[in-house]
Amino acid sequence: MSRAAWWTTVAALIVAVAACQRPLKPGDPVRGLTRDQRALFDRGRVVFDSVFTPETGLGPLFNSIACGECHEDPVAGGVGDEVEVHASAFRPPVCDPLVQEGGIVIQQRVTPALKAALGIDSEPFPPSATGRALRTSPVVFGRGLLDLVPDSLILSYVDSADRNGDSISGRPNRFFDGRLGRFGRKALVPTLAEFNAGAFPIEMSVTNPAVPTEETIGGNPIPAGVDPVPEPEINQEATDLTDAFVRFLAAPTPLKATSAARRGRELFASVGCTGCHIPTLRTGDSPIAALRHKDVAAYTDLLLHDMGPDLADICLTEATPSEFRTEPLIGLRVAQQFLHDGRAKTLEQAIALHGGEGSRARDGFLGLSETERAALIAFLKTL
Amino acid sequence: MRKSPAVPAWAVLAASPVLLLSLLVQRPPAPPVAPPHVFQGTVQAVQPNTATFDIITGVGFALRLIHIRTAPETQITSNQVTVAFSDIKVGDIVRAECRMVDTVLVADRVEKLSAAGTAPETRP
Repeated sequence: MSRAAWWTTVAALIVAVAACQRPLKPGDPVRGLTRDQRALFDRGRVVFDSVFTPETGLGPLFNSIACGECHEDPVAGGVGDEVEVHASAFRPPVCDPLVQEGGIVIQQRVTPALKAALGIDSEPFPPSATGRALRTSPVVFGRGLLDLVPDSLILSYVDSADRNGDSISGRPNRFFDGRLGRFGRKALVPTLAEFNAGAFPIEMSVTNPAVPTEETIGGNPIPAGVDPVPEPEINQEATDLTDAFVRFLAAPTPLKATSAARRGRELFASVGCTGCHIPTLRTGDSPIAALRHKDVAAYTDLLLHDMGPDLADICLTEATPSEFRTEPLIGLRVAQQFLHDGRAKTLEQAIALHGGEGSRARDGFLGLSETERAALIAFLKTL
Repeated sequence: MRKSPAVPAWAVLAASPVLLLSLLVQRPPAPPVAPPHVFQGTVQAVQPNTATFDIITGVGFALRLIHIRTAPETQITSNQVTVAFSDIKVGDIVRAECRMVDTVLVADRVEKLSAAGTAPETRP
């Protein structure tokens, strides 16, 4: 066998092996975890699905009784049908998250003890709010990969002045301390670890070492005796395990594309959707080999874009009410409601509701033939 | 009784650093210095009359409002230049090193990191 033929055979074998890799399903861990990391993932899933009660730290205000209550379909880490309420006050140029009135997240449920003490069924809506937002529960697949996308890559997509004239600008949001944000519908939160640690007190009022104090009730301290569990209500290990589970959740492998879906992928790019929904991001360095220097089919630039007045709701740090982070399309095939507030029940509706910087792509989609639109939707349903 | 031999002067000199070191080692440890409370966040409100300001910081969506008092000796800087309390504006991002006095956080140092709308910090 000649040297060239030998190398050709080796290359073909490598391609064949890669092609035969079992597709990653929703809920699978990323490939290449060590045995210890895989054990953390499995133990973390148990914490993720743990149901909290008032006796184990739940409440007195809460939105859910478990991480897995809102991220459950079709598996842990998936979507949920819960919709939560957020609020802030936009007094240009200042955005007030109304911390002194209990914002941003307005918890919708209370424990029996709080109900008995105050007679309320939910946290009072902040009287100073200028905006009210509804937020659905997205999948959390692939978030560990998004966490490792270098800031420099995100910032390379910024085009605040729209210098390339594509009607798409894109600008970063940042957290209150100045760091670049990427998680949340307004790209508020800089890191996955913080998002996860903050979710315990915000969604379940379960304190942890990173957030050792309870949420207020509309800015007021909780009444004595309604939350008897000492702080922090979970320890660092439980927080770390939950973080490991979310961090190691893979981005599901897109389904095998039909010829229509392949055509749809081309149309997705040609009508301009990829101006914001950038198909692939690459992670940077990490001590975790399974997450290091990986391509992820993220379909986002993690930047804010003005989506027009019809979708506008609340501001959040530098994001104005009409600006939203490009939603990652990872695991889109399991979603049952679309856009940040779930107002769209189909993908067609979601695209048609794009405004502002999404208008050109929306119009491009609406200008396609029926067959072409169906092809584009077929492509999206492979993600 | 036999007289004990005199210790040579050179031996005393040679041993003194060792003795001194051992004394230092055996000295009871200094009381631990309470670490300063360090907060970095966005200025939410400034109250000139009381020389206090509020910043927002937090973990993820779990936000906290921190009320900080300044004192005449508080060092307030921007770009390594001393500035006045009145230079702290709503929307600025500041880093404040504070200590707890009774139940109030009093700032030893306030560093103005950026004004609203300036470029964010990045991580690699």
